[in-house]
Amino acid sequence: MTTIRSALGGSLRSTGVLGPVVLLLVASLPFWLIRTQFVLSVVTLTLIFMAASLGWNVISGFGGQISFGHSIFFGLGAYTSAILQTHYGINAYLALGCGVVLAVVVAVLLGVVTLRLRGIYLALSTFALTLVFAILTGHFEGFTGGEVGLTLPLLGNDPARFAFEDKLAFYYVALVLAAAGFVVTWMVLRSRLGLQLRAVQADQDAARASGVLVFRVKLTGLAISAVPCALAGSVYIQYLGFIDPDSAFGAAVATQIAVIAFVGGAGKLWGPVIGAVLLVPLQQLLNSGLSAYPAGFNLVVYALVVLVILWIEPRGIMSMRWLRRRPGTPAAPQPAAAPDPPPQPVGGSNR
Amino acid sequence: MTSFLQTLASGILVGGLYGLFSSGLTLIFGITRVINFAHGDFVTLGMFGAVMLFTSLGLSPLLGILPVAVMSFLLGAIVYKVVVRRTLAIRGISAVDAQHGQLVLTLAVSILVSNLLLMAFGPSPRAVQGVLPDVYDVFGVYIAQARLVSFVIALAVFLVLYHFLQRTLYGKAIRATVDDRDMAAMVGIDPNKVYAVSFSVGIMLTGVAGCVLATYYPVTPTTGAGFLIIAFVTVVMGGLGNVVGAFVAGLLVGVIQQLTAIYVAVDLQDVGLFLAFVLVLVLRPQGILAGRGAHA
Repeated sequence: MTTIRSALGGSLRSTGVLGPVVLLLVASLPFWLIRTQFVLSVVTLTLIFMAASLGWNVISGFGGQISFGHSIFFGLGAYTSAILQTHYGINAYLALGCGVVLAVVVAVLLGVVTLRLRGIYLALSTFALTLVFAILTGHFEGFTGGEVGLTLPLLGNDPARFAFEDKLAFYYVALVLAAAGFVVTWMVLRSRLGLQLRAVQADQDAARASGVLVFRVKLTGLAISAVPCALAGSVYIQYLGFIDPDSAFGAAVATQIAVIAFVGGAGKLWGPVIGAVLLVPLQQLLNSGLSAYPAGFNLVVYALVVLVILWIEPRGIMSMRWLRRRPGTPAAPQPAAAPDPPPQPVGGSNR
Repeated sequence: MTSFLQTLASGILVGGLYGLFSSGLTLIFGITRVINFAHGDFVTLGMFGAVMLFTSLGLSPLLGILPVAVMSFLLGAIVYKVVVRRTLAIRGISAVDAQHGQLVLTLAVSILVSNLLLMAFGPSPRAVQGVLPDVYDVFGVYIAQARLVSFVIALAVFLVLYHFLQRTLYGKAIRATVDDRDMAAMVGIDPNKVYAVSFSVGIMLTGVAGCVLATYYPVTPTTGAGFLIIAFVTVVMGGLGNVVGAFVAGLLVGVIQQLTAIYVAVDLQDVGLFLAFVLVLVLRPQGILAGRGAHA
């Protein structure tokens, strides 16, 4: 238990050890644990949403600027991939790149309008914007397929066009995506930008007074956080071959990305990882396994699980007492680049 | 021209109800700094309350307002005590973390409520039929009795709320807390009580609005998401925390929505809202009515 504690809550060095161990473990899963296609798809989706949630964590977790609409970027990634491939026959990898660029552009535009205002405006406008995107994609049928959605052409096994016969390939694509997302957020956290974002999260006025260019820092954070989400959206459509307005921009996806991080621990490096491992399988299992129950039952259970976890600890699982060294220690921010810190209370640490 | 006036009239009439439940959201935000993500679903809950009272007891939604208001007030109190209050009771939690926790908790309540309704009633729309069926012809503009009566009720309830906030001791305590929490606490206002009362009153307003809305608007368990967007746009237009602003902005939102629906496309009505929302954010983020010293 002590090792888990120190590893999950401890120093940077332990993340450097634990990260590769977890990566190797997850990479080996198909060889000894994952026996059915269903489990494989659950784990793949877990990794995809983990990546999106890791992206969310950059601006909303580290930066404290809560978004309930990172599905905007997820959906833009998915739809750009789908539209460019089906309408224009553009290569899937190029389409993926275009999706990322478009997501970053939208993130910057959104940020210019909302990030000068207090944080709550971002939460309101992202949630509104993602539902507007859902309406728009539903409306312009000729271009987006409307409410019915878009289906990618079946290509069989064509790695040059991001199509694999074997679903196992997508598992590893999703794993690489999630791992890359994790490494990027880790690097952000260790960087000057990460420190500035955390300063903004702690106290925007104090950060500004200390010379942090608050608006620019927030804008950069939002732009960076859009990238993993857009990539996750692209991989999602390549994997499932199908996208519709609700599964790209709908309220369920919008809240899912944020709730994963909140349940795991918003602003903690490992938060989205823990949250995704817990919530996505829960949702997938409830969706398929309990189909005998009336519609809505799965989300009732899901909501209750989220409620109970956050009722116990509003800061998420990573802040729960059994994960902390000394219970009840007051939250104290740790210096970002503490050289090899000794075991100490980590209530305010982001790791 | 008649069609324009017609659109304007129906926009204003439905806007009164938007204004009513949005003033609940802005009241809750002004006091507790919580954006209640379950707000739209409480409107739905009020609508289902009206439908159930009508179908099982034959009670007209106009009489149903009273029991629905009481129930939603109590429900608001319970949600506040059990869910929202919880985040403040944790040792060593920062104000920001507590606030974010409240956001997600209300979000979970929203998912819970809408899906409990889905389990109980299924996805098909329900409506109260045959109440207030008349249609008035005012110089060529048709005005449905249900819409008119709903609007009048919304306006009346809002005026009662306004009177409560301006004249009663509780109302003054609430306004004092909006203006300066610490100072209000210092002169002996119990913030916990004020928080609980304003949260419950905010939820009660959604119940009342839902109840009268049910006289002409069919309800499904997922209607709430649409109301939530409307409420978000309305409270930002009115200026966050500004109750009067929210009501006036509600009328405006109703009109914008109807104009977009008639002159652009019905399914794009909320896109028109969002454009107005962005314009407000860019030009007047303090709200359309705000002069100096807006509640921020």
